[in-house]
Amino acid sequence: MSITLISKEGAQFLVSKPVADRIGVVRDCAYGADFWLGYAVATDDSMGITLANVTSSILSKILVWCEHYKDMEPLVDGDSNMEFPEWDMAYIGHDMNQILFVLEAADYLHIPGLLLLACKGIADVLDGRNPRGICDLLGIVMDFSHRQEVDMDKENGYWRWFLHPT
Amino acid sequence: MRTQTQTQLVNLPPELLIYVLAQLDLPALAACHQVCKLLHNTLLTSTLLQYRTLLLLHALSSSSLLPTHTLLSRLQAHTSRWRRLLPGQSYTHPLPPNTGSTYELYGSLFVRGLAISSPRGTATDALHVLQLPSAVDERPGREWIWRAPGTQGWSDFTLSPSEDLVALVAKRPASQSLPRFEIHLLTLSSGLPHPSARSPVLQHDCRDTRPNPQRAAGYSYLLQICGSSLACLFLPREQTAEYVRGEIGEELVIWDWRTGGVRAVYIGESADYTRGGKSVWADPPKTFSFLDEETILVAGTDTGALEICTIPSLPSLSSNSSAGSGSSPAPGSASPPPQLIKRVRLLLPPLRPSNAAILSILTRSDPSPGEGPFGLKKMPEGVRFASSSSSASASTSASASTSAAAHAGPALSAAPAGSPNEEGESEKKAESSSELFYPSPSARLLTVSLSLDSPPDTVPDLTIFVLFSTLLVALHSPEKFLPSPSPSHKNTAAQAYYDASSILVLPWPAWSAHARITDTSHEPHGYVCYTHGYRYITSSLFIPPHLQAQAQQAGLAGLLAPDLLQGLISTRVEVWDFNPAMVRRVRWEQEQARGPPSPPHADEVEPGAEVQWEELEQLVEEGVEQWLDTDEDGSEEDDDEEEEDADADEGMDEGTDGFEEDDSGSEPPAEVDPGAQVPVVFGPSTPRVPAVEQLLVPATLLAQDVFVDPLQSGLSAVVRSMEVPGLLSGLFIDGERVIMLIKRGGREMLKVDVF
Repeated sequence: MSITLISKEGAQFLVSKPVADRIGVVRDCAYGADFWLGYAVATDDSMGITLANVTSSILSKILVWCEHYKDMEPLVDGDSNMEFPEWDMAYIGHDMNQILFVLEAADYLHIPGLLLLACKGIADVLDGRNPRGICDLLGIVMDFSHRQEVDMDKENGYWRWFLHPT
Repeated sequence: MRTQTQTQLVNLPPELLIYVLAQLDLPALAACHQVCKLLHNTLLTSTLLQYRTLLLLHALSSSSLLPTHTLLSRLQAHTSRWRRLLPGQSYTHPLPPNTGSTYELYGSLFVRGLAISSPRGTATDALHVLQLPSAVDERPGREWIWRAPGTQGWSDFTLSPSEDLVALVAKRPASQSLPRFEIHLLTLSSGLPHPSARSPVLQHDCRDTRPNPQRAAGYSYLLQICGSSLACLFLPREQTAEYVRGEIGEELVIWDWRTGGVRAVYIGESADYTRGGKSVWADPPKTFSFLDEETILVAGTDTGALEICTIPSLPSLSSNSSAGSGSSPAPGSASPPPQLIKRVRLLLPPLRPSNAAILSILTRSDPSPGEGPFGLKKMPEGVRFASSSSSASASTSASASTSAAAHAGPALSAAPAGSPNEEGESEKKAESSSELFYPSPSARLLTVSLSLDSPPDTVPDLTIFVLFSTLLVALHSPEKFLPSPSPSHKNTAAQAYYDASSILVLPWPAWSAHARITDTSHEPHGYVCYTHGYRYITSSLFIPPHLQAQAQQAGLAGLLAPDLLQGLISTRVEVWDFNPAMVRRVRWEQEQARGPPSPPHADEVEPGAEVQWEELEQLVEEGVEQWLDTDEDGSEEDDDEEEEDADADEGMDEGTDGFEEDDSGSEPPAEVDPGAQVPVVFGPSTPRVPAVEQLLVPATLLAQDVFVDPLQSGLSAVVRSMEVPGLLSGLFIDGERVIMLIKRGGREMLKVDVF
């Protein structure tokens, strides 16, 4: 059984049930419509779900992940020192913009495993960069001067000493 | 093709931004603080992010489902108590008599081997389990006697609370001359065979080539559990003739305890030399520590090196289906057991061969790296002792303690009456009692304790500290230790290299910057749970300055009268914190204060400690008088103490009671009969001054005719110390508490400071 997903641009993607099941909103929509139970007369191309916030390029990328994880459970919770499989890290890559698109889409589509992977991707991109490097990477203006802050207790002020050269 | 507008990290919805930031590690978070106001304010105002940051700073993990703000406030209080060494609670707890020498401290469980059948403590056949109360999650304390139906007594044990596993090395029958060992796998909750273990008993035959084995050779054991791996090092007594002849020897066996398969057996280097016509294994293992489930560190005394080895994984379950497939001592009769794969060799500082040699070596790191949050799901009820807070009035705490003692009395003296099973089922409350915070898996300190055969008045003991992260970097990223290929400086003696069997060899200078070496050993001797996470605990004795005149009068400077000495002497307990973030912080704070860096570890007098000492002085005098007045009590205890020591403990008794100060007025210690069950005393926490933080800076250990060169070592630590009157006979640390073992009139007490 399969279902058609329609991207923001109107492009149609035909996906099988195990793949689509990875996408939370699709699963909810489909179950809500009793789609998989067969009550709604569903042929392969008559029923589609429009995902108005996801572009074709991002949707196709997300479907690659869903296809990979159609038979296995992705990691869905963890902390910063957890290890993702190599495939995941190669998949998410180091393109910050693309990771952010994936992140937003994963949030919108309710895919917790992919959301976590995107966060891990961002953490990897930021890893080892100093504040100036992060500004350059994100293309934002450094608008913060830490001299302005005076009333910080020590635990919160850890960033003052943590990067201090020793 | 992309038509969407540019997305920015900072344009994400706040909840998504927080979720992203919560996955970052500490350096990235610190950098984000200084990027822009939005990130900075998000990091400062979000409870989740504050909590995550604090966890990372203290190298802790948590799997609690409590609300984040609750966790944050508890974590703040907990870390602040540790930092100032001001306990949230302080109490003493009696230990049952007849405890053997085996014990474990694991995930707030203090477990001692107990000899119920034989009062002399010769055969351990039960465990006294003390679940210590927690100040972080206000969990009450419990104690119970653990017995394993069907086992005959055991020589040693270890446990893994998160797996609900107790592993016992069964006592061999005296008639059995061959070294065949059985390790029983039981649950901590019920004492029954562990349901996850395919076979409840692991068997191993140590090699024994004695021509006529007539009596059983004596062995001691080192045990550690890491996830589904269980390692046991069988150590024969070294003084025996058969050991010297090489007929028996050390064997390290690593099992997968779930399947029962042997993952590896290690007996040292292959027989490359012979002694007395028999082949002898070179550099047999004397100690080991798991680094993770796939990696183990072993060390011997012959070459003076720490070997990091990979444990081969079991090829397939079918080939090892028969549980307890012990290694066969005779080669050729069966497929040889798999070997450890040596990967990295860290050489210890070179000794002058004519002057010094390594006598013994012991590596420790706690908790085991596989140990997750410790959950007591179906533990026996035991005897509860309520953890009254410091605000509790003296009367309630006294009544609570007497009732606890009333319960404890029969439970301890007639332990077989209460079967653990029934008690376990009686527990109705599904109490969430797992540890709130536990050290992150990688946050471990390895201590290597060496005792040396060296000239007198030089260096009898050495302790080396190194972080697991350093060891794992050497294993996984060896390029960080290898010299740059530039031919300019050729100092091969100090550089890392690969040897002929492609083992990465790190001479001492190549890793000394990441290690710390001291010529002091852990005090007091005899107990090993002195490491937890990044922390290490030790102690030293001193006589408070204002008592020194008195001490000299009493002739202490010359021949010591031990009873008087005990009254005058105090113990300085030191907690060494190797957490790199904490070291950075203290260094930064000291630089900010623009003071000179504090002298490394000087014997400074803490401000405010004077009050305590004056009290102590009084108490010592009173104590000596009382000791002279009262009859000796506690002599009915069947202990191994000498008479003199029992008397001497009286002097310390008073000092210790005074240390719990407030209660000593309401219930004078004279009223308590030390021979009876000593009640649990929940005193209000002793008002102390916050500990002064000192930085242990990189230091040099002089050669002293023992080492080839002076030893530099670069790993820094923060030392905090507190002073307690009297002597300690044991000192332990875990994630939440400092535990002091005190002997009072032959009876052992725990004094626990909960942080």
